[in-house]
Amino acid sequence: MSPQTLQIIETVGLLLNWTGLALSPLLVTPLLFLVFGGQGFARLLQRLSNGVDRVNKRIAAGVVWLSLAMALTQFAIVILRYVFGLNFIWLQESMTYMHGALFLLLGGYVLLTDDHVRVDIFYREASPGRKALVNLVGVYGFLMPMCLIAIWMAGPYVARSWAIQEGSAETSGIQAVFLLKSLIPAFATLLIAQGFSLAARSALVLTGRTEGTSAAAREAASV
Amino acid sequence: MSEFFQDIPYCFCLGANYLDIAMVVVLCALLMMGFPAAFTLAGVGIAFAVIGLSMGVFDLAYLEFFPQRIFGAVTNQVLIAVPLFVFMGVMLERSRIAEELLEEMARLFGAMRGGLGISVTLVGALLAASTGIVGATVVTMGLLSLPTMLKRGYDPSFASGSIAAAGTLGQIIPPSIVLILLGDVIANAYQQAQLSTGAFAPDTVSVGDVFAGALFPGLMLVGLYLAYQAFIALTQPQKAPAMDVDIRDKQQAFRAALKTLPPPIILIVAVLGSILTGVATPTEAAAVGAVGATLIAGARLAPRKRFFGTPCILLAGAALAVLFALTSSLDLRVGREETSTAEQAGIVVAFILCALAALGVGASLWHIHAKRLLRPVADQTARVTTMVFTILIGAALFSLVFRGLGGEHTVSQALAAAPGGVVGSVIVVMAVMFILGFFLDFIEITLVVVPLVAPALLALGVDPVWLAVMMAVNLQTSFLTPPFGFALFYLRGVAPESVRTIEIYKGALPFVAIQILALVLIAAFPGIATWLPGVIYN
Repeated sequence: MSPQTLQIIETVGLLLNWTGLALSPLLVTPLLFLVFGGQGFARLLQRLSNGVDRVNKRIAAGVVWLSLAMALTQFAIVILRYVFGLNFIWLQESMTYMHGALFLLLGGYVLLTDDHVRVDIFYREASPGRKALVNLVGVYGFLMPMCLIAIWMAGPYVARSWAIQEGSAETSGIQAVFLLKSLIPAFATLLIAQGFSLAARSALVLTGRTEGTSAAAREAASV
Repeated sequence: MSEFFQDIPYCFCLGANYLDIAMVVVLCALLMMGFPAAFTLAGVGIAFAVIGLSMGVFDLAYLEFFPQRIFGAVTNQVLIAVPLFVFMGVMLERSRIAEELLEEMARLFGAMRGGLGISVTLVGALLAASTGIVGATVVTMGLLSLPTMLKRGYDPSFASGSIAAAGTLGQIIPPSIVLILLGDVIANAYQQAQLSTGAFAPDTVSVGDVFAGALFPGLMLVGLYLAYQAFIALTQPQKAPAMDVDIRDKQQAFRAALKTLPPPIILIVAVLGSILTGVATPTEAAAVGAVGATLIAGARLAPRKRFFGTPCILLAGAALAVLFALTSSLDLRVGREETSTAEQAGIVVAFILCALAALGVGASLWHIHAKRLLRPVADQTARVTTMVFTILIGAALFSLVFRGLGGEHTVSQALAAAPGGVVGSVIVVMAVMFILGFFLDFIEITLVVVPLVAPALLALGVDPVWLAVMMAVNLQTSFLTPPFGFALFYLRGVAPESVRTIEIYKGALPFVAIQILALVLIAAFPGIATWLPGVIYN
């Protein structure tokens, strides 16, 4: 790869890095809102939260079809191998790419639709306010630390892969392992954004501005 | 005074020694809060990593493996089977084939005493196989059959017990998703155990082994359930009365059942058979299952009269059957040095058959889409898959920290110290898992607890397939046990108000007894689990 390309990639990487850092104060705005409150602040949070929901829904609208594509591709692989004795490494590898993209790009969407399984012995019966509190604590105590660790640790891991343009171990494979690995920070970013949206909605519920987080989630997720 | 100060670092060390245990306790407590388990696992892991770092007993390098673990979940070839099996299950459910199967069976067996209960058990065994999530199956079966059973005068207790038990059956009967996950985890643990004992030529276990191992215990459970239901129907007919069906209705039901029952049953048997005989990997079989389910759903939903409706889809099914026959009788591999004329002709025919199959799959997808079901199927599949793998990611972070804090060592020491040697250790692990089953779903226990305890047990010489089957049956029992069992919770959620909670509990108890009997039988005669894999793979 030419030095210029490397230069460009590095610049883009740095840019992303700085954008992330610049946006990170936004993550605590739901907490600030709980402290300071205010009509305008509430509207801002609502709008930001809706924006994040839209992004994750837009992504999901395309990505969910990978499940069908995976079934058809693997079926084609089976026919080609068992009937015609043909093996295409790139076709088999495409399954890995679709599989990875499927669950790494949908982490945020599934949080939006509230399908991440909960131990709901107490949660199910809890009042909307209590649910909002659980979600607020969970987002800041569990979800965001996990995503930040993932981004922090994946940084060098993904950068190494980009630096050597890591490809498949097979010559006829898909030479884009560096892109596949980049899905990890993408996963963390989309999830952190949706976590922010959940925290914002929970904060609004706690101050009595909307009636319930899960009702809002259902509404947001209805296709 | 100086003695006092000398004690302080010792105290710290002592505290640090128990960090791994504290981690598990704190996890269970915080999970009760109700935030998604995947993130709670990761959050608790990070909190204890920070505590460990501040006490100087944790190495940050452990966390550097986190992205690698996530990438491992992406590239794992066995786990690719998960979305495909979920697709198959969701397709069968959304196209209402599952519902139809239950209705047909009920009509077929309804005239018998206890017939409705028996059909619930059979359908639970057949269909839950492909979804593997306890809640979903219990809810579906509860909504579909509980009202019918009550209306026909079934004892509420007996009816709800049958439904809850049938809903958990799918976990243990292959090809269930939890068995895939369990098989993968046990395979890794087995490798680890053998490396630690210094085996030169390590054996391996595969998901296929676990499927084969679970088949007989699963069928045994079905048999025991049916025997119990038949026993109740014979001795206490008022609890499970027969439906009044006149003769003509019966014949009609039989004819209808002949049309609706075979396709899904053939599909499930074919998928399972190809894995068990080692013809196909679970992933390959799952793809056949997914496309097969699509064809069945398409044939059911498409207009019957138009060629590009049902006829075209049936033709595709026939084409695939002929293709299978052709492949087993002729060598159709292309690109060889020499091909005989017959083989060349065969290849041409095979191409045509493939084109027909593709046409049929296309037509199926088109008609499913026209009924506005294709997007929900894709969406639901994607959501379930993401849910499963996000737990995998959270569990990976948790167990990295647990290992970093020396948890593995603690676990193997505790197991070695258990009274009664290997048997004692197994009993301890089973008891702990049983209790955890009240709080955690199968997937979480499989991904968090099993990787921690299995290597130590396997290093003591426990058979991996037997262990996996015991764990699966044990957890299934836990889900059925009042008052905490998951299956009972879900059934309570969908059961009519007229059914009292205590009746649900009472109804579940005989099935819990059956489960315990099965556990004892498998423990006493390990061959029930280990015989089939031994025959198939050696």
